[in-house]
Amino acid sequence: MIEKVWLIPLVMFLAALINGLGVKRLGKLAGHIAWGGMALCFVISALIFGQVWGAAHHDAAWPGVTVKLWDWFQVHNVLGSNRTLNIDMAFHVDQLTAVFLCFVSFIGTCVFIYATGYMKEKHNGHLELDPGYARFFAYVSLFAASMFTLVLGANLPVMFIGWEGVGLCSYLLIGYFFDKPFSENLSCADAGKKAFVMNRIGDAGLVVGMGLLFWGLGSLDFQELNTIVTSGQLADGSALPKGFIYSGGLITAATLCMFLGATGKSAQIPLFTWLPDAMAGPTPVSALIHAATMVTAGVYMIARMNVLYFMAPSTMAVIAIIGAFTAFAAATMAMTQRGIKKVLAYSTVSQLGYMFLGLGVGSMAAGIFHVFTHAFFKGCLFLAAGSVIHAMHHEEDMFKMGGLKKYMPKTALAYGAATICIAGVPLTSGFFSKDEILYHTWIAGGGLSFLWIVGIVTAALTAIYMGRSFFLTFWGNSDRIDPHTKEHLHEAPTNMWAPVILLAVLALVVGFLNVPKGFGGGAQFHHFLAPVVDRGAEHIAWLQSGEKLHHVLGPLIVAGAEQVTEESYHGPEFALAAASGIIAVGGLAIAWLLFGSGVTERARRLGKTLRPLWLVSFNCWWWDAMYNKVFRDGTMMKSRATLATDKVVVDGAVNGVAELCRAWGNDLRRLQNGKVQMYGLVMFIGVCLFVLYFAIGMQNFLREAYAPEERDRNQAAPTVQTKRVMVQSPALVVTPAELASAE
Amino acid sequence: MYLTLLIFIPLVIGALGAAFLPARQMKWAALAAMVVDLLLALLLAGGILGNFDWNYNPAAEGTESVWVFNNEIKNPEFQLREHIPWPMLQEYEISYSLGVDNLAMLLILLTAALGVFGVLCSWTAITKREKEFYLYLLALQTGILGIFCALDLILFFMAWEVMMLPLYFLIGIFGSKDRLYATMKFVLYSLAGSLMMLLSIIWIYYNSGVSTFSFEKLSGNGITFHQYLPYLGMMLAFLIKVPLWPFHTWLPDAHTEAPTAGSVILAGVLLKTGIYGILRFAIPLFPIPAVAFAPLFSWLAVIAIIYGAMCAIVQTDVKRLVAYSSVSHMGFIVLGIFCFNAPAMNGAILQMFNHGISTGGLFLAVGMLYERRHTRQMSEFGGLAHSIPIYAALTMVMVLSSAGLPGLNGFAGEFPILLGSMNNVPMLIEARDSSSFYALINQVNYTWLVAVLAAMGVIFGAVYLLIMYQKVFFGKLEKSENKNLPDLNIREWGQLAVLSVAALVIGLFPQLLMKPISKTTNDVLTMVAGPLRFDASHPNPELEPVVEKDDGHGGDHGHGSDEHASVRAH
Repeated sequence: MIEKVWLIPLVMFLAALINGLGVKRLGKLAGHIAWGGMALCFVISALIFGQVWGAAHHDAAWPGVTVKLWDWFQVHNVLGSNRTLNIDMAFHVDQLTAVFLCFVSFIGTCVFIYATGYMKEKHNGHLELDPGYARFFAYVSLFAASMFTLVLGANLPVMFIGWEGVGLCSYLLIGYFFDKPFSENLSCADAGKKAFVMNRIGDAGLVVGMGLLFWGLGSLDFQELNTIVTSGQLADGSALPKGFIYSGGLITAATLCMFLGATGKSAQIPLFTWLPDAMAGPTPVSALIHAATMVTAGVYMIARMNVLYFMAPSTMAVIAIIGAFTAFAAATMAMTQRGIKKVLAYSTVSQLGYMFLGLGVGSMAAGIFHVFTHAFFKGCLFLAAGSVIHAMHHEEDMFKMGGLKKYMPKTALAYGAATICIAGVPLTSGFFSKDEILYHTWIAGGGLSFLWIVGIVTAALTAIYMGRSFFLTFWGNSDRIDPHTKEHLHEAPTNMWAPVILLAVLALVVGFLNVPKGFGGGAQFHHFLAPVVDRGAEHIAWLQSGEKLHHVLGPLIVAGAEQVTEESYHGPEFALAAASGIIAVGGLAIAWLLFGSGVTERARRLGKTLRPLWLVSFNCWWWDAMYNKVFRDGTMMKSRATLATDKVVVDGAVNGVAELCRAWGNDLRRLQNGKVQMYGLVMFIGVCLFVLYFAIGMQNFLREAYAPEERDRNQAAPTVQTKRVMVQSPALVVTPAELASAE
Repeated sequence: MYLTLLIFIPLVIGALGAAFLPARQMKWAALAAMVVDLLLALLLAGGILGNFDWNYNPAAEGTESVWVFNNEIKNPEFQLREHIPWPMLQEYEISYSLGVDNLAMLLILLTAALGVFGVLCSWTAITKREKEFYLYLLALQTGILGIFCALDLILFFMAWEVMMLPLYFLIGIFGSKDRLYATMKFVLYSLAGSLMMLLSIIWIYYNSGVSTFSFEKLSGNGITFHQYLPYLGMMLAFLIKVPLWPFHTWLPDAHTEAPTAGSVILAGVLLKTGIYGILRFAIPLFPIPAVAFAPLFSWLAVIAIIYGAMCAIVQTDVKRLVAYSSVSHMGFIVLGIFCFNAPAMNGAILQMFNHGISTGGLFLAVGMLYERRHTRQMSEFGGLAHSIPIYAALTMVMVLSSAGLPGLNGFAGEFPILLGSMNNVPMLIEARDSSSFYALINQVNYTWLVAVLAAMGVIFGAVYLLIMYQKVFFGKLEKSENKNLPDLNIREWGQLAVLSVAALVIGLFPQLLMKPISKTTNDVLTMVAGPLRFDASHPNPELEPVVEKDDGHGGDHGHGSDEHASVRAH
């Protein structure tokens, strides 16, 4: 089955094509084609996963299978260096790919089924398909094909097809309601454009990174890069120049550039502001693309290229710091948002920050595990929120909800379950995955480090704002709901609540796949992925001693500066877990105290006391305002200036030359004015000039006639011939003087 | 005779049609001529690619040993040669000399294909003076095909000038409001360039030592001109045509005012004649100045990329926006050429083809819109995705192709260019052999920065295209004129669909074109191999100059530079 892995993207591409071509005729069938295709993909993925599991179990050093389809680019370089641009259209299947294939196709199936219910509206008492029903399913199917290509690509450019493909589908889906406004100063189409452009900024970084890798290491293939870097030998057998490693050289530059790509796709600082606005898309899209799958592509890319990243400790430090900072900043922003999807969006940014923190401190498996669990609980949260919004006639403001558990018990249950997961209540999936990251942060920082403190504070904030959103929506009384809406409130239909409940149940239990060893578990998830994602760590000596990362993170370490290794730290694992457990439950309790029965007096008082902080949070640190002023308006201003320059200076010069010619022509025209006197004058001047000329000529003739010896001397001089010169002089410029001397 | 047939069929059928057919039927004659021409071009491509060795590997040919100053340079292998000495002008060695290599074949294919689109998109748009219109269109086709086939400098120059006249009338008669200004600017600007080119050609004739206008004899003789002025003169003509910043201002005017067919051919093919001239004549005839001025042109190219994109961002006229996007894209192509490495140059040549598809497609799309609404102001549109969804979808494909989405053709060209332009990043040069002259001047001129700026150009590309798309297709459908627009008919649908499929196929299988292109690339790079490796301070030990003492000369050897010397590897 592994050799047939190309079936997966192909199936979804065909689904997209059929839906796209039959956009007017398919009707209800469109949804069935899409979710059927996705379910088929899940079956294939599961089969592949089984095979990968077997192969990896059998042979610990199983390298995975590369399926080459055709030559995509092949350019032999003939000058300058012996680099050959050789890019196959090829897919690679190993443990990491198999995990991504499975959870993407599974959650995809759930979301697609949900969407067949969501994309209907009640009109005059009966359900009607959304006017863009088939278009929607064409886009999401294309998205799925791109996402599969992304995780299957055997080299960076093939991954890049998927990378930009998901970006495109994200753009199309955010702008799905392209004629509607999203907020007071942003239309849905604007939001889509913003997402695409910000992603493009990251993609430019990714392309530059690819260029550096290509010229530096001579390959863009993931497996070849791994081999080159771990063996220190280029493909042609020559040794890797020393400066490439450790010294802040090429690999650091390349990994930093590619990390810029990751910040774009995975909504990290500085390129995160598009994700909250991406909520303009339909909610199933937010669940699938902007929470579970696409936004984790950056994490996937770094885990996929972990060998390179481990080679660049400075980059790893940057990733860890950006991850932690983003997690914290986004969590503070989520604290005061009113829209239920806005809270979830900032929460996604924050959780992605956690993932990058995990990657940055050197635990790729922990980062990927958080991707995995996050996909379940955040997917569930978004879908549940979608059911609420659907039932509330597209009202997203939580301050106009309340007490919904009475009307939508199943949805409330699912949302509650996912909330305790994301808050990190012990034994839920979020607890295990987040704890793993915090634990590794503790280890990498050599104890109580700044990064760990940021992480744990963020965990507390997460529990509070998620509790807030849950209590505001489902708890308390339902007085705040618009009475007209209240009449129609109802539980979601089966095809909507069933996937939600399924995801909620899984969100509660998937954590047990990776119970840490310190807890007596087997850490199966980590073990399964280790051959791929720990490959870099194994090869880098410094990580074992903890020395190098220590050095880089040095300034950030607060206490406990002694050297630590994983083995010596099973002790604190319990303590750390207990701490994060207490913080999670405590955070939820605080949320209940403040918002357990609507917006309580306590909450209002607190908001008044901390007004400055509230403002910072509610305005999202003014990131967006700043970007709009500096970059958007700045670019528009510069563009206008450029166009003005074009008109006045560049074109002005061209027209100026033309005007000059015209003016000269006009002046000269005056000579032909038809006045005989004028012509006579000109003729007279001409005759005078002629006479002068001949007079001078006669003088020369007379001089030669009377000085014959001088004439002879002139004739004796060697005649000058032109001849082709073969230049051997090292200087490229052959001056006339040199030419003359060559004769 | 094959190439002659290919070149003159449009003109002959056009002339016959104009003479004998009623005006209404003229378009059928034009279509027939274009289709026959396309078939001939396809046959030509099939023949050349059929003989092409698909396992061709330039690296195996060992260009390492080629040194530009000896006579070992291989000419590009031209096929379908036709050579007739020009009657009465034999003594100047002017000849009617034709031949094609892979590069020319590719561009002929593009020209022939866009010619068909040019007729189809004028089908209902041109209603008066039809005979003239199609005659000019066919004459233009002849001129352009002549450029791509000519192997004689004078013949090339003639075709170059012939190409201009029909376009002068196409814009001047059939254009929109400011057509006279635009067409005059275009023609005068181009003429200024051609004048410089003519001077350069005459200079070459007198200074080559072979006294010929035949390109093969000139380049095959191992002749390298060191003079910069004739090179710059020739480049001026080509760069005006490309157009490279700052010689681009004729382009937005000409594009905007031209009828749709004119714009399509102008953007799709005519701009490529400039690039073709650089690759075919300027670089092979002047390899040393070409290398020396490469950083300058790289910088101009990257300025064009950013500048063109920024001008496009604030346009209000759709067609003008696409025109400025052309400036940006052509900047990429010029950058790719003057990086002087195989990936970038391959990408650049492929991008010539791609630009013809994507920008040609965009102009077709704009033309269809213009035909429906008789305006091109973006503020007049909005929400068109509601009223004409098929048109919106197909335009989207063209927009994405132009924006360089991976999997479509734009990326297949842009990506190797960007990759290749990063060849000279300082940290790479440190690690590599830095003794090449080119690496040296690139470091001095900070050409590596160009790569980063060009990557930024990709961002701007997305910005202006998406702004345009949003303004035209998204938002509320408010204007009543836009509500009942007819969606594409089968003729229009067919044009855009064919281009979309072509975009996808080239995007996924760029090797189909890249492999033949790599032969041309190798030919061109071979020409500059010597200057690129030339290093004053650290001569490469493997390439020590072998000085052959020329004893036969009885003359004065005082300065020692009279010796006939050549440098050979080993």
